[in-house]
Amino acid sequence: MIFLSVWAFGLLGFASVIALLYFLRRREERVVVSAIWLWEEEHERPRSALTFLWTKIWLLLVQLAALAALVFSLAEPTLTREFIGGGTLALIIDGSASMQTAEQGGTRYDLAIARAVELIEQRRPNRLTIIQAQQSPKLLVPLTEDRARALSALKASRPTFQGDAALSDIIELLRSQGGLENFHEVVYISDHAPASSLPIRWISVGEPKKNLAITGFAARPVPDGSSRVVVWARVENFSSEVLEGTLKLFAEETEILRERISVGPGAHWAVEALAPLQHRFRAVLDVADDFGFDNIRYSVIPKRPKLKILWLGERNFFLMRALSTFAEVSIQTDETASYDLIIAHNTAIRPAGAALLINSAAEPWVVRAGSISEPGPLQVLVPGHPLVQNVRGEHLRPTTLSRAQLAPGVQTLMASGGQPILAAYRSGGFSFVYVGVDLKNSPFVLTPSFPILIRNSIYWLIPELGLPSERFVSDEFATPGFADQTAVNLDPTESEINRSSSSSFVARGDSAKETKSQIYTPIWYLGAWAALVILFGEFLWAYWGLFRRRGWSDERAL
Amino acid sequence: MSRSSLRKRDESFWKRLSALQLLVRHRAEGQAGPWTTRRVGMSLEFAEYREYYPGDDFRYVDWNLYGRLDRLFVKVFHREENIPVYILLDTSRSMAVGEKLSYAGELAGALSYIGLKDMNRVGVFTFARTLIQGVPARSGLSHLQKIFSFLEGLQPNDQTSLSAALEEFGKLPLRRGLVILLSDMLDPAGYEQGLLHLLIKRHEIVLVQILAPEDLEPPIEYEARLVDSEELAEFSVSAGAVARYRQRLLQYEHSLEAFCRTHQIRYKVLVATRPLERVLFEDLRGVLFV
Repeated sequence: MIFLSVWAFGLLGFASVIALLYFLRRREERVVVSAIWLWEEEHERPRSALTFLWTKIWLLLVQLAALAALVFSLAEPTLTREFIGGGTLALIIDGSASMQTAEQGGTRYDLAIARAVELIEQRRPNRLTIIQAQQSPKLLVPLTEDRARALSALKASRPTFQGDAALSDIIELLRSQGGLENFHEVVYISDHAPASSLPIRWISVGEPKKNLAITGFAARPVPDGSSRVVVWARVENFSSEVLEGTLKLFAEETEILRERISVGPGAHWAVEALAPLQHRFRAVLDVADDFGFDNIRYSVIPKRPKLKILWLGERNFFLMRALSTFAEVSIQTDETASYDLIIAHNTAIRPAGAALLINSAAEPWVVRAGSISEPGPLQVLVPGHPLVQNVRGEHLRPTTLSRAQLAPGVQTLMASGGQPILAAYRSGGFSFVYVGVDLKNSPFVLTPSFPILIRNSIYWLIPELGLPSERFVSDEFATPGFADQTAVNLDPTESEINRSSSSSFVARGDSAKETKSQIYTPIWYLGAWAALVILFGEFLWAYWGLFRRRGWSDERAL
Repeated sequence: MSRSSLRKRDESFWKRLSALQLLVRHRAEGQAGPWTTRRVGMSLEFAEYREYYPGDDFRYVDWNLYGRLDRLFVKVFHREENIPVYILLDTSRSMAVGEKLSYAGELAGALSYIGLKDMNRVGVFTFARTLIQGVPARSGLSHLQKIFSFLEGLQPNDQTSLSAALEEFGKLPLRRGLVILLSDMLDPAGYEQGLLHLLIKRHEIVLVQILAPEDLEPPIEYEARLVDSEELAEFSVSAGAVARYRQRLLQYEHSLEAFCRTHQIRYKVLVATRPLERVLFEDLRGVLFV
C-alpha cells in the first residue's frame, strides 16, 4: 500500500489538540446521593490527579481513532497489486535504426515484435495502443479493443533509419489517448533503457554485437582559392574487440582515399584528405559487423550562390578569397547598377540596403572616432548570435582598434576594451554588420575564423540566400522527381548498438525482463467510512447512556 | 407536590380512585365507618357464635341453641367502624434527590382522597429530624382542600431521623389508626426504633418506600465526587464502587423488608418515576387497598 498524499499525516498533530481539550474538560463529576453512608466503604480514594487523568480514557481513544481514520483517508491510501491481465496496455516499440542490428537470423526489431506479441497474448489487455518510437514517433495502433488488428499492424511495421525518440513526444501521444493514468501498464521494448523516471516498464532486446561505424564525415572548401576540398572522416569501434576494415572515400565516383584501418574497442580513428572541388562525397567502410547501416555516410558541398557586390573603399585580397569560398562573386563599383550587398572597407558610406562595414562608418549609425593601439580584453556579448557561430574570439583580437560610436538600437556582439568589434543592425529594409578591425593591420584575415565570419555575415545580411544546412545524398533513398535527392545519414548515436542500460532509468521489478506490473486501487473511502462509523458509534453510545440514565426502568426496581 | 399535578387530574381519575378502599386489618375504635370489625356491634350482619361469658348481654343469647344443646351461646355481629388515617411524609433533603418528595406528595394527596371519601378522618404530617408540621386528622371531603394546600407547600429540609420523628409522632395524643409512612427510609441511624414505637402505640403501619432511579443506579461513569444530599459528607469514588453500593443497598432493603414482615408491617417499595395510576391501581392493591 502506498499513500498519495503523505502531507495528510501532518494532521495527526491535531491529536495533541484533542487530547489537550479532553484532559482540560475532564473533571470529577459531582453526584448528589440520598445516602452517602451506603458508600462509606468506598472511601479509599482519592488517587493522584495524574492517575485519574489517564484512567478510563477510552473516549479519548475513540476520538483519536476517528482522527487516525480520517487522516488515513486524506492521505489517499492506494493498494498496489500485480497486474495479471485485462486493463489497458500501452506498448512502445523502438523503431530507431539500431533496431536493425542483426540478431538470431533476423533483426532486433523482429525480436522486439516477438516479445510484443508474446506480451499481448500473455496479458490479453482489454484495450491497447502501440507506438513506434523513433525521432518522429508513429502511432501504429490507436487505442483499440481489437487485439488481432493490433497484432497485424505490429507485425507489418518496420524499423526506421531515424534516431532515438524523445520520451516527451511518446508521453504526449499517450496523453492524447486519454491520459497516462488511463493505462494500467506502459511497456517499452528497446535495445536500450528509456531515459525517463516515469513508471515505464522496459523490456530489453538484443545482445552485445560487433560494430565498427563511420560516425563523422564532412567536406568543405579550402579557403585559399585553390578550388580544393578537405574531406574528414571519423570511425569508431563500439565493440569489445579490435575490428579491422577498409575505409574508402569518394568524390562523386572517384576514389580519393583507400586505407586499411584497425580500431581497438571503444577507440576511434580519423582521417583527412584533399580532393578536387566536387559536389557529392561518400565514405564507405568495408567491415564484417552486425550493423551495416552506419558503414556508409554522405556529404555534399552546396553549390555556391551568385552575389553582386557593390564594393566601396579599399580592396582586400583576403576578403575577396573569403567571399569566393562560398559564393560566385561579381564586383562592381557603379552605385546605380543593381547589387545584392555593399561591402565598405576603410571608408564611410550612406546607409542603404544590406552592408558589410569593415572598419567603415555609416552615419548616423556608426560614427568613427579615431583608433586605439592597445585594446582591452575581448568579450563575446551575445554568444548565441548567428554572426558569431564558429568564430573563435582569440582570432578576432586586433592589435589596433577603431573607435566607433554606435547609435541606439545597434547590437554589439563582440567588444574589446569597451569598444565594439562586431555589431549588427537590422530594421526594415536596412541592415548592416560592422567589423571594427582594420584588415590591413590585423592577422585576423589569416585565421580560419575570418572566412567563417564573412560567410556568417553574408548569410545574415541576405537571409533569402538560405543558410545551407548539412544535406546528404544517397542513391538508396533517392526520390524520383528530385534533382538533389533526399539525404539520410544515420544518427551517430544509433551506432551505439550495445547500449543496454541507462543510469537515469529506474527499472521496476526484479528483472528488466519482468513482465508484471502494478494496479493501483484507491481505498481512501475505507478510512472515511471507519471515521464515520466510529463517530456514529460514539454518538449512539452517548445517546444510549443518556437514555439509560433518564429512562431507568421502574419495572426493574419493582 | 406541584400544583399542576393532582389538581389537574381529570374526572375519570377521581372516579377510579373512588372505587378504591383502604385496607385495615386491625380493629379500630371510633365512629361508624366502612370497616367491619369482629367486635360486637351495631351491625345487623351476623358474624358467629361464641360461648356466653358472665357479663354478656342477655339480649344476644340464642335461646334456640340453649334449648337444643343446653349450653349458652351469644350471637356476635359485625360492627362497622371508621379508623383515623395518618399519612407521615418524609421531607428530609434526601427526598429531594430524584424528585421523591414531589412524588410522595402526589401519592399522599391521592391517599387522602381515598381515606376521606370513605368518611375516615385523615391527617397528614411531615417529618425530617423531628416531626415538623401537619394537618390534623379530620373527616369530610372538604378537608381535602386543606391537605392539598399543605402538600403543595412542601419543601425538603433538614436531615432524616426516622426514629426520633416517629417516636415524636407516637407521643401525640392520637387515636390509634392506620399510619401510612411515605419515605425513602434511608437513615443511617436506623428505622427500627421508630417503627416499634408506632407498633407499641397499636397503630397499623403501611410502609411505602419511595426511591429515586438515582438511588438504584447512581449515574457514575468514571470517577465522581459524591455529595450527600443532607450534607453529611463528601468524597470521591470510582465507577467500580457502584456495584458494591448496589449490593449494600440491596442488603439494606432486604433487612427492611424482613423487619416489616416480622412485625406485620405492610411494605412496598416504589420508584419515583413509576406512573401514579399504576402504583395506585396495581402496585398498592393488597398492600394498601382492598
